[in-house]
Amino acid sequence: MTKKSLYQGHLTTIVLKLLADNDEMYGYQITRMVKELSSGEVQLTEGALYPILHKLEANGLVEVRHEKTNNRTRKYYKLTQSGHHETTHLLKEMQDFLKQMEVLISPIPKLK
Amino acid sequence: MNHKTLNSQQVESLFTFCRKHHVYHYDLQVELVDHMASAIETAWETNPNLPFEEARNQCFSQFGSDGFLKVERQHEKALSKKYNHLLISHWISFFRWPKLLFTIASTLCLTFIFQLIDKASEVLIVYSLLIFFFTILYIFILFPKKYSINLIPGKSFLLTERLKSVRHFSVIFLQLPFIASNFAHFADHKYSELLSVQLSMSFTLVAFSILFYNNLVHLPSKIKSQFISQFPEFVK
Repeated sequence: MTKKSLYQGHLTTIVLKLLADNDEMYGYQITRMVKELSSGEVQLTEGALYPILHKLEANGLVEVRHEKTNNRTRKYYKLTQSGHHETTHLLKEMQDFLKQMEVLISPIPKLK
Repeated sequence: MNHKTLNSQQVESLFTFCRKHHVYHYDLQVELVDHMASAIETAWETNPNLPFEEARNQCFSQFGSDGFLKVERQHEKALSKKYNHLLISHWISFFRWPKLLFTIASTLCLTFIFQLIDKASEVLIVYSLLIFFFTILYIFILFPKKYSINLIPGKSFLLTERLKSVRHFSVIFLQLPFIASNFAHFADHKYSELLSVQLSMSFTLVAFSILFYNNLVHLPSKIKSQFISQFPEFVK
């Protein structure tokens, strides 16, 4: 299994966490921040990001706002109340998962 | 330090680039154009002499081998899901407190009408004709007056396409009197005099009427208000 596929299942959680920490963000800002925070380890491609954002919007987890900036319109995403609940829930699930993984992959002490 | 930014001609060329890559709806073009413009400006921060086209192509390659195709498909799917969800959740709300009271009261009223009139088929025919005439009124008068959006020419939006589809879909309700007339003899079966059957028929008609109202009134008003809040500059 490649590193890329390990991350892929958690991209939605990563996007939600960023939105929870930054009030509102636009698409390009999210891709840049993921790259910076992970020192380039996690590649959130544009082809993956927008479907995630549009899905979150369809599910009512984010709301959008448009703003004029530098000759163009920018679309900002912000978590809704249910988006905040979902983020908390997903982060909790991820932490539990990581704990379990740590137990499973750590060396098993030999029984005497 | 002031960084180099895109001029309006370059922004416009990005819109053309989107159309060339089969993204025809302005709602999505806006987002993709801002993304590419931001990526180009970031590239210019480190290399101000990088030609615009080269920076744009570098950014486009990040979208993968499918280009914008995957994003566009998912966008359409997500929008469709959003409004289907809205439709279903609003319909379900009529079976929960406090709207449940309205549903129960309407069902009982209709049951009372079924008891007053000898032939249940007559109630069904009148009901289907009411739906038929309201749909005619809706297609030709109500929708154009209340829900259609006068757009500034030259732009196409996925949201307005969805709005138009509501009007097209409403044609299906015009079939109702023909369907009702075909099934009328079932309604006049002796079992239709039973209270439980009358209650069931009434409840079915009320549930259908709520669906009819949601499709033709609630949904388009939601889509229209969302469009106006997002793109007010394109409404005449």
